[in-house]
Amino acid sequence: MSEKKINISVNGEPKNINQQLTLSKVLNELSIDKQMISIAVNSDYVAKDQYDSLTINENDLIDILTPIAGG
Amino acid sequence: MDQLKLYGQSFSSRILIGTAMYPSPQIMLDAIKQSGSQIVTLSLRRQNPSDQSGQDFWQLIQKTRCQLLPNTAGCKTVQEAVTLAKMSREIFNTDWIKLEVVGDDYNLQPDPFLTVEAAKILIKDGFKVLPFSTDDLVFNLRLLDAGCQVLMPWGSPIGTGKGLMNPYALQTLRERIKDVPMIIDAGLGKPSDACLALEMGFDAVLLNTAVAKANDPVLMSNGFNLAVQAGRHSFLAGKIQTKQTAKASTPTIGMPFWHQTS
Repeated sequence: MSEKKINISVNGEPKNINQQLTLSKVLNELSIDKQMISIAVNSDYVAKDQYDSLTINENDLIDILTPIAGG
Repeated sequence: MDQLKLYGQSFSSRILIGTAMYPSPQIMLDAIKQSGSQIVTLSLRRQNPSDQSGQDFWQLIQKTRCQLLPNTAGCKTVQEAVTLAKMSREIFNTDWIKLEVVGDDYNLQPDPFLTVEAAKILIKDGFKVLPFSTDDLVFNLRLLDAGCQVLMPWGSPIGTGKGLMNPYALQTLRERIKDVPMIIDAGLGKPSDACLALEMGFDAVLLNTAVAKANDPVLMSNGFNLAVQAGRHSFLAGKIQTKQTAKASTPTIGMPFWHQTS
């Protein structure tokens, strides 16, 4: 039997992933390098030491931010 | 030695410079160098997982060896600004934050109420907040009440190049708030604007558009560097009082060809 999938949003793009994954595993699944990024889930900052414990749920909105130029 | 002191750190340069809108990465680096600045602003945005531009930009910025001042540009709520500040602290490993909470999209005027509220939360969380404000005296006083130890009033709206739009308000601000570093942030268009700000007693200027969008950003950056030094020297030296009538600077005693007629 195949694992149940859930719908989430990553930087505004819809993604379909396995349920019960931690944030860390979601990043691995999406091949996202964890260096020089910072993440918010549902607009709340998630510290790096929480990536392994935070479970991503249906309809979660993940923002992955990286440095850009600014004034 | 005359130094700019911000949150316990000393800087010989009185220019803070933005990293956006330069024609090329190399021109950005050259312009930062020519400005003499030791503090650069930058930001965070969503990353496309396949895009390495964030990494490339970060490597470039590290070459400057400047103090980093991440901003919360574009945030419109307290929660957005606080969240972005926390993310910036993690990624840039600094507790400095240029707090911006936009109150109006037309002139990008900061929202005084939300900026003060966000400043209180961030300071309680250990941030060193450099808030973007207007020239409104009470707004700035409330930011001091919130615990800010640096203020960054605008000269005029961001990117307009209008210079010091309301010299009376800025002068009032400087006279009422004497002992807190104040940096004119936003709206400067040319080096003489920066010179005037420093002559008025402001401690520093924050530049981006005026340099990055100049025909020759590197030359303009040098112009600002010289102008800020000139303005600071003028402020420290103390200018003469203006007078209504002329007074010759060359002595009249011993003037030749001068004969009394009666």
